[in-house]
Amino acid sequence: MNMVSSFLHKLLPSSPSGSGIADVAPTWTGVIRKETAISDCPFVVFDTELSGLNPRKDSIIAIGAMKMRGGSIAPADEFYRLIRPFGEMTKKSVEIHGITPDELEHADDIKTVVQDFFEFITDAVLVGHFIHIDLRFLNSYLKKQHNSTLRNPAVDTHGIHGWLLQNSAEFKKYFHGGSLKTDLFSVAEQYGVSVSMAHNALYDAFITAQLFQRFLHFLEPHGIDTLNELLDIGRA
Amino acid sequence: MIKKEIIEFLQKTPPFDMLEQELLEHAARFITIEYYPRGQNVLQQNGEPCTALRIIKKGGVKVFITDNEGDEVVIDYRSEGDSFGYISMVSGDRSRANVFTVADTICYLLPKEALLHLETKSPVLGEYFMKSFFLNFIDKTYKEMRHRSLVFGEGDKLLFTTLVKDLISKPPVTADASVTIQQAAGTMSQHKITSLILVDKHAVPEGIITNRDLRDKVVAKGLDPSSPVKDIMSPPLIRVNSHETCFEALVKMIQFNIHHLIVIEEGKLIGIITNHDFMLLQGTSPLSIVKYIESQKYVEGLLTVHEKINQIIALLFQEGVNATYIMRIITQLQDRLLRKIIELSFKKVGEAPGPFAFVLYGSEGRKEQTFMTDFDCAIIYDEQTAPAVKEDMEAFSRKLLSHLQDIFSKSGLPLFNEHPLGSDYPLYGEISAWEHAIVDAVTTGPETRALHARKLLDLRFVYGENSLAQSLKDRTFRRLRNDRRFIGLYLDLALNESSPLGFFKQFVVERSGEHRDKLNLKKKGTLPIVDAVRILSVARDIKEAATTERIHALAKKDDILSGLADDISSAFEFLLHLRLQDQMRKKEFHQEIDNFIEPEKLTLLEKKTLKEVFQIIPRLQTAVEDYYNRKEAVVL
Repeated sequence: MNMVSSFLHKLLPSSPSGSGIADVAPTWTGVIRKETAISDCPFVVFDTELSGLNPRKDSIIAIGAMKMRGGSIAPADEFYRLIRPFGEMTKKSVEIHGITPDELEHADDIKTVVQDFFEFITDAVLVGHFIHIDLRFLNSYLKKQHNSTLRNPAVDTHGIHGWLLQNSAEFKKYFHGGSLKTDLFSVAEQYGVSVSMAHNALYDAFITAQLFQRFLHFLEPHGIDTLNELLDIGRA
Repeated sequence: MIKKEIIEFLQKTPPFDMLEQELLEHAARFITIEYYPRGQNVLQQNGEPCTALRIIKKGGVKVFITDNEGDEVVIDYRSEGDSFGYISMVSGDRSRANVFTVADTICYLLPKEALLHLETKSPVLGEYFMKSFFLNFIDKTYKEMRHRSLVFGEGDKLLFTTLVKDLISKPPVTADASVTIQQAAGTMSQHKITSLILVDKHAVPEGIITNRDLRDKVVAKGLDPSSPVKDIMSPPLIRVNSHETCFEALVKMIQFNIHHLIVIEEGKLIGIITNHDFMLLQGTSPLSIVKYIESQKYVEGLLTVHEKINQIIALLFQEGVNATYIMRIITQLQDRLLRKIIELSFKKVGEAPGPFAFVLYGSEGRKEQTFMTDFDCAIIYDEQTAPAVKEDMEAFSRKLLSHLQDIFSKSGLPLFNEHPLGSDYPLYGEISAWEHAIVDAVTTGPETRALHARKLLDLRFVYGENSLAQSLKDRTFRRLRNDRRFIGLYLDLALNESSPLGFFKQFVVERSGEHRDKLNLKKKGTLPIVDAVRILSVARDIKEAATTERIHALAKKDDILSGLADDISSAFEFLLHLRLQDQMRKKEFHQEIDNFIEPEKLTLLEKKTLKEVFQIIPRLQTAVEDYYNRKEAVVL
């Protein structure tokens, strides 16, 4: 047993002995090459709910994700799990995501959920709105447990949005100037994605996926066809 | 979560609405979602074969082909709930048309394999996509009904003379009201029955469950089958006494809008009857009403028959019988009633001094009768050489017509119009007098009278000498056929009504007034067809009066309607079906019967079909226009 493993045991006294780091690991194998056409590229669009914004104090309490291939959303292939948090939940975060501490009491621990999530994403390219925040939390957890980080390429819809506003006259014309706001719901509304009342990580992932779907259409005329080109403009 | 939304959408989208929940859930697993901004080609003519059926969730597309000259030919506009790409997907062939978004569009993609799987489980799905939409609409049940001859069957059980107890063949299967749903369903499947009566300790009926309850209240709602059956049973039960007639039982069913009645004899339950039993009863015997009519010796016995006929409409309609078929039966019954009344009238007014034809005209002439209103009728007789005989015929006709008017008034029916062509013209006369009256009205009369006279071009023989009626038709048609004014006025009538569909195929309804948000089904639907078919019938010497019969006769005779005939007659039948359905509902709620419907209250399938109908009417109008353009060219 190495140091990280013993550290993990201290941190997670409930984890069964013998189960080590090996079973919690990113599943990226690198089969997706940068030359892959966007239309063939597997994406996982995801969103997390957090107990607060400080990765040292706060933790992920829910992950919602949905698969896409190119511009096609596969809504049946969904992932939605609640996670029992480590720290205290702030009153403000409870208000935002509407998940109460009671609900989380019987949720799985982060180890199980993150493991399942990695199995869900395997080699997909990750997509999210302001995805660096979600990644920061995931990576902070991985760093602590594994001394590693996620290696999947990641794309930020916020970044793509900014690029389109700057570079695509057609995009701006089509959407009458586009959105000057940046938060997911305002952006979604501006681009005709219907935003239902329900607000959880899975629905937000679905909204992000639809937004990403719309943006991809306007990238095509600019010759952005491959994963590499997509990452150039929207890398997280 | 999102899958649930997809399933809910499919549940209200034909043909998927015909599928069971399980199949839908299975299919939803394979669905993907795509988005196309407006102004984009989704499918390209001669492009790659489709690998999925695209169902429009939101937005709209234009389907068009580009012909050899590079011109765009629009085939269709499709919107929410419609789909595209089926033929290319199934055949593995290149896409035949361009599909272009006219609005931001979101599609659900159902992959080929998943759809083929659904089709093996539910073949009706493939039929829906393959065949033209009308065949889909004609529900399997009423197709079957068509083959059962209701009117001319043999047998002697009659609706009005058969007692309820004669219908009961088996003692009823009952179960204790304290059993679970599962136990009750077990009993039903063991006895192969579709309904089960639940009784209390003293064998007194407490309620009933039917197959429909099991489907709607248990399976669809996911109710636990081990729940008590009391949770889903329907009390209270409507009873009927075993010695009451079937007709009385039927009235109760219609009155309470139920399909089952329990039959009580001396306070004890002896059986259960369903409306299906009545249909069987009628399917194996001539309609009881016919026998009733034929057996009457005095006019008095016939005064309320029209009410019974109205009840039959309700019965047939409740059973899902096609409106065309219902109207055919009603026409038969009303004709028989009228013939019998005329026959019995001879006792009062004396025998006719010579041969005559009693005819109906207008909607009765076209066999579009539903609920009995007034009979628009007329009497035609031969040219009389002796003035004395002519006076006798006139006197007889006057007496007969006034006697009929009297009978209708006693029956509570509206009186018929005695001067359809103006006060100078009586409702009786020699063939030549009728010919002059009609031809003069059309060719020289004021415009309203010229148009009003069209009712008489739809005349249909009911009693007496058919040859007289035929001869009158022959002579008037021949004289009108090439008359400039006739062609001008009647062509205008046939072509001028515009389609009530907007650019995106939405219904254009009344904007204001009493009929706000409503659509005039007669003005926009049936009349344009009737008028267009009439002018062609006069031109091509078609003697039939009913619109669908005219259409088929025209198609047989030459190619004016080539390829269109089936679509038009189906469109017409569908409009009559909608009208009858609407009339039934208005009658049920004691509302005034008119021709206005609210498109928004129709089901998705009905809306879709109605839109198709309104696209067929312009094609008919074009065919009429083409015919006269060609004719004009020949004359010049």
